[in-house]
Amino acid sequence: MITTLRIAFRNTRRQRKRSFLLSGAIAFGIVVITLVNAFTAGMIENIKANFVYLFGGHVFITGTELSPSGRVISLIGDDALVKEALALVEGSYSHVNRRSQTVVEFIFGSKTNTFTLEGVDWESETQLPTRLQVLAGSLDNLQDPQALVLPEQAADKLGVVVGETVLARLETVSGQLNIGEFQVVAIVKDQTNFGISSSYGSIVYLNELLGLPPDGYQTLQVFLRDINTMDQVSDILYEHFANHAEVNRRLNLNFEARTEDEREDYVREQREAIAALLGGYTELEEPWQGTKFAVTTLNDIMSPVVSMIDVLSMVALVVFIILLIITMVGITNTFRMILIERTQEIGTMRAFGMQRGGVRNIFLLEAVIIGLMGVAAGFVAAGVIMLVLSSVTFTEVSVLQFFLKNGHFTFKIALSDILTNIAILLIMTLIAAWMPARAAAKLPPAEALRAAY
Amino acid sequence: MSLYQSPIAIVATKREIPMPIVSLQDVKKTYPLGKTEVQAVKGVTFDIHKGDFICIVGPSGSGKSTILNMIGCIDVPTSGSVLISGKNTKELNDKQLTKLRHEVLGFIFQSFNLIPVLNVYENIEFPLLLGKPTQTKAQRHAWIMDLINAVGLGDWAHHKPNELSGGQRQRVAIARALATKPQIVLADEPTANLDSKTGEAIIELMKKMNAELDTTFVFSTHDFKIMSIADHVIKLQDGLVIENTRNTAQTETEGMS
Repeated sequence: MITTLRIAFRNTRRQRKRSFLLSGAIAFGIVVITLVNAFTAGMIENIKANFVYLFGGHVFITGTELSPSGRVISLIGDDALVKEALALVEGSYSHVNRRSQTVVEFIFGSKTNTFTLEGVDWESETQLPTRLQVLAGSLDNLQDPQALVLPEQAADKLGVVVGETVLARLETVSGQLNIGEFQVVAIVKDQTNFGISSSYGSIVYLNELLGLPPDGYQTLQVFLRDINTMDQVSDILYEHFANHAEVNRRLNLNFEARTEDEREDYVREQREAIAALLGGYTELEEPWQGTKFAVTTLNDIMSPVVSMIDVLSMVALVVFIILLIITMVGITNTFRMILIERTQEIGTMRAFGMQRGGVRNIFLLEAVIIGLMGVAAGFVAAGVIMLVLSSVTFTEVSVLQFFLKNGHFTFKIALSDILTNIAILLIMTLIAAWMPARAAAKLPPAEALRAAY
Repeated sequence: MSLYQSPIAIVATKREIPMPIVSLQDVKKTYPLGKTEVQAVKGVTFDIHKGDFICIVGPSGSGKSTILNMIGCIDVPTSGSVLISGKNTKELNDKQLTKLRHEVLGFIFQSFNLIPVLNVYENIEFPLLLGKPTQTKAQRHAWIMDLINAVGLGDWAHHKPNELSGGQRQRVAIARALATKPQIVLADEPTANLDSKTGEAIIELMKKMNAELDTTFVFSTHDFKIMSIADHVIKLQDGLVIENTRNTAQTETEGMS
């Protein structure tokens, strides 16, 4: 076997250019598939991280209640049940935020600008102030109910500076118009790269403006310690709510395998689920008592994005296989040429007592060595490309930001993907070299020795 | 070194052994050539005894290579039988023939046929690494170095074939043919690609090995000068033996039909 290996290895160095080209073709395939795999995996991670930032949390609990007039309002009034539910998943989450939010038209002089106002309980949300990057003013005086933290972009549009008062026009949960007054205490850097920035005010004051009870809130944002427990935690929470109160159906954006009839119901259910999540008004079907809960996770929201990326990965795999087939044709052809070139050599080895299997193995091993060299070169090249790409900052291209981590591409390589690709490649290489190898093994020694090349 | 005396003595002794090491009985070989057939060997019968130094001569197309191939178990006869150490090659499958070649036979080719990617040492070692090992690593190394020194290439052990002259390459080929201590070494026109002086030296080296190791040598040539060194000459023409001569002054002519 060592002799076979030695001959096979040295054979690859006989026509270095030829071996180099073959390995190069294989390396190219590896580069393509590795980059796509690592890029899509990294992209999913980044999108998730960006979503956490954007939506604030991994699991969201929202609620709807019926007002005395029969109107559906977005509110969680039953905090006791929420606390009970959270007790069941104690330890799985790092912290929770209780928030109310609404879209507000801010007015300053003759200028107006509309954006989201988040009602924050500054006493319990101690993390938020540490995350905000203050550009002007300070976050020391947040206890003032009318204190307002504005993102830079909004402040610029309104032309407002710290210490000035702005008016806020909004709609109460019962649909009436209301006006509030806020004092700008700080201007902060935009939190996200997506151009969706929120302003922050006191939840108590916002609830007052919205017509909600002072201790009520609309969304509970749960931040998990381990992102992988998302479905598990949400299931526990959902089950608890379902057992003790009314619940909305879970959001499920997978549109697969549904019949025409099912789809109609499904679309309606999902519309309700989304409306509940976004704090909108759902159509009244049957009246209920207390809070009707909805539990949504980042995975639920992400699933269409993930399936889109899965499609991208599949396309990459198809491209990889097509590349491989082209390479295989090249390998088969090359080994046929090698067979002709080395016919007399094969005859000699057979004459000295090498069995057919030995001759075949020399060919197959040579193919495997070329394949492995290609794999190694491919991984090195892919590594270099990833290193270069991840060191470039893409802050200017805002469309990309959603897929990036702080403006950088990130790549994540799963060992299983690497091993699968190596296995696919080696098997394909062996298949490609099999026919010429078999032909070499079957050459009658006398005929092989007569060959003059 | 008396290249001529000792082998003759050996031949003389060995000839008394009744069982020949190689026996060809009415061997015929037909090759397909396009839509027709060519009969390369038309019924050849002769024996080879252990320790013989036999030369098969004849013009191109007389069937020399075909006969050597059949003795070498790399080809089998169309009819008749070739017995190697009493085994009929026609009854063996490819695997058995390969095993027989490895155990009993050594080959020297006209164009040397060294494996270009292996150096001198490795080329000689090559047949020893096929099949089950019969020596320890140290024994093997010592034996290969003995062979390399015997063919006078002590300083060339780690050179690749393309760094050697034609004569040196054929010396490597001789050492390789002897590596497995075969009973028979077959050499198909071993001097054809060499100048006459080198050719003679190669034949003399073969004869020396024949004497020292008691290995049977069968070689083909159409060079009459070289032929005279052999102690047993078989002349072929058109696929038939026309003369079977021993240089010990004993001459026998076999029937041709």
